[in-house]
Amino acid sequence: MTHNHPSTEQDGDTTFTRLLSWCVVNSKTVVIALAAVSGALLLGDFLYEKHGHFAFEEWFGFYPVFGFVVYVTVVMLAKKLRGLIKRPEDYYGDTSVDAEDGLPATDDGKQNHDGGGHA
Amino acid sequence: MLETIPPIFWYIIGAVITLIIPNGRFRATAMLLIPLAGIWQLLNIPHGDHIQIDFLDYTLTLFRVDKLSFVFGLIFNIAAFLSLLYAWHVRDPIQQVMTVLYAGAAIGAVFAGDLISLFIFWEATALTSVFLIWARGTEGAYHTGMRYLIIQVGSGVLLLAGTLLLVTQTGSIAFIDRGLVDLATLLIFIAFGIKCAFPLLHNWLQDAYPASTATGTVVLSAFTTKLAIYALARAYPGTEILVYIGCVMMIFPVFFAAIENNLRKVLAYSLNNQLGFMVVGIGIGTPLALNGTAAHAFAHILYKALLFMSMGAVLHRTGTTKASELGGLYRTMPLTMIFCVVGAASISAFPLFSGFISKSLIQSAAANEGYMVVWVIMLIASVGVLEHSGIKIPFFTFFGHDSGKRPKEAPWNMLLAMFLTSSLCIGLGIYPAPLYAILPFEVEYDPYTTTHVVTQFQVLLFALLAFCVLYRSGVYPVEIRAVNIDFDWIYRRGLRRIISSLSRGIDTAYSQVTAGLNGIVGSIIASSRRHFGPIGLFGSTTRVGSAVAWISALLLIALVTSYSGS
Repeated sequence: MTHNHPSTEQDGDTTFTRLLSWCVVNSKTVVIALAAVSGALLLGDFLYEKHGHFAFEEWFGFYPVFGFVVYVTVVMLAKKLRGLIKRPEDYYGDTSVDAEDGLPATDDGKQNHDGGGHA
Repeated sequence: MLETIPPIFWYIIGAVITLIIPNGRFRATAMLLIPLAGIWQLLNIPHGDHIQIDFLDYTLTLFRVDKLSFVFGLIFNIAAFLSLLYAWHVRDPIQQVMTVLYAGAAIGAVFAGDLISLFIFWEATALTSVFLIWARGTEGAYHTGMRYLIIQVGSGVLLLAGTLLLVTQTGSIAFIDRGLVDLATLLIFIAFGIKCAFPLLHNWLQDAYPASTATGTVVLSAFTTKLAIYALARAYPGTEILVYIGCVMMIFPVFFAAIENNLRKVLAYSLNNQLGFMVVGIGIGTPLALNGTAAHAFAHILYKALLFMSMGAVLHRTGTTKASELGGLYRTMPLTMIFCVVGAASISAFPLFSGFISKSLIQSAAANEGYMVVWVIMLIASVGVLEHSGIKIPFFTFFGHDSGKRPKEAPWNMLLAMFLTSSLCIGLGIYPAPLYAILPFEVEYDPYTTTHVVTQFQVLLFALLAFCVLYRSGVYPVEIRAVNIDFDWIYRRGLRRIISSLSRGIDTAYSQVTAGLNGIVGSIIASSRRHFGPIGLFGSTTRVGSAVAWISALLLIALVTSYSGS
């Protein structure tokens, strides 16, 4: 993930935003940490007695596998759906707000965008 | 005495008084007192039917306080307070007044004890809220508002029709548990269903809410749909078809939300999906399920408002909520980002956040009643919620691709409103007992069992991991500027196409028939012309001289023949 160091002139980076910037730059580390925590949670299934409503809930790893598989399935199906229903932004013309550029940005009179960078 | 005045009067009088105060910070602050008065009143009034007035042959009950109306009345007042604080900086008198009146109408509807008063407040919510959409002030917002108004007023008309039918059949206008038994109750059911955004009746929600102003959408998100949830819980608890309607509502918006670019529209789809959980709870209808619906409505109003507030702040500062135009805002809007993440964690039902302690009541109720498939659908929908509201909203706004935008942090009043709402979301998550205490039924429930906490973390973290894998591998759908058509295509495009092709067909048929008739008439005229026209046998004229010669010749022949014959 690219990271072009921003110029935050007005109040400078706080420790908190610096920490977040570090996470953004080192996103791979963050993902690995997440995977480690998730793996530990999976193994957590051995450590307690599960009380589910249904028998299948008590299978080892039911919830983790369910979460992962359903997430991927939802996203892949949604991608397919997009192929069917995607239209240009001005499809409904001026009878909808879809194509409007949005409302004027308000900075209380003080402009501090450093501009540009539209996707 | 003061506490028996129906809350709608607080709001109407409050709206009038605040208009007298010069427009500025005093008026904006004074408006905050109105919902505070409403909350004070609710905490002090005993349960029962308070104000009854005779209207024609019927007795209207304007202020019925019981456990169900108390929960919804309380959260509506809280939502009104938070929305007004969030919109404290707005100086547009139309938005100020309509926000107050809209909240008042919704609260009035919650406390209505009969269907006629309900109808009046029902329509009032439509007529006041549409101004919050028009407040955007663009051509698109005007058309969107008109579509919204037609559908909302249509819902009211169905409610009125059902009520009239019910009165002629039973003579009763009481707004009580009716069940889905005949045409009258079906009409009322559909009226509620429109406002509740049932599948295929849902598009007004995704159409109108993202079209409102930064502050207007926060107001809109709280009232109309939850009023419909309240009405369904009041009149149709345990109506089984609601379980299946709710299942569809939980699932289909997930897919639309996943590919939608406008993040406030994502939240509108997400709202639709959350209503599904509540509708399932009403359909199950057990005390635990109905408690779950009430608790989920309460928690949902807060975290949904919080999410709309964070997106409103982004809209306020950057002028857009399109994911394709946003990203990297954490640098300059870190507080808004934190509040957004609190809302995202709450709606995704992470333990210690409000969604966890409310949604699980409905899930447990479904499991207790043996609705296994429904339970699985709920779990799928929960993963979907994490996808669009838990991850997509905060990630693509505040992280993701850096848009280069460096907007200022949100204004102080927005931050304060988001802080208070976040505190409530976390507070309810950590300590749900006060909320459980005001639910309609006495039910013992503990969301914090080891199994529940561990399994919830497992499903959520592994879904999060799936996102990381998909995003980093480039499989995750990119945010692009586009619209996705939904069922409203039918009446915004399809019907128009059918009508215009029908009219084209009629036009063609008409011109062909007239052309055919013209041809027949033309050929008759042509043949007449041929025979009787100037060159025709019967119609041709000749010169006088030759005519005289011909006549002379004829006379000569006549003379010769008459002589020869005699």
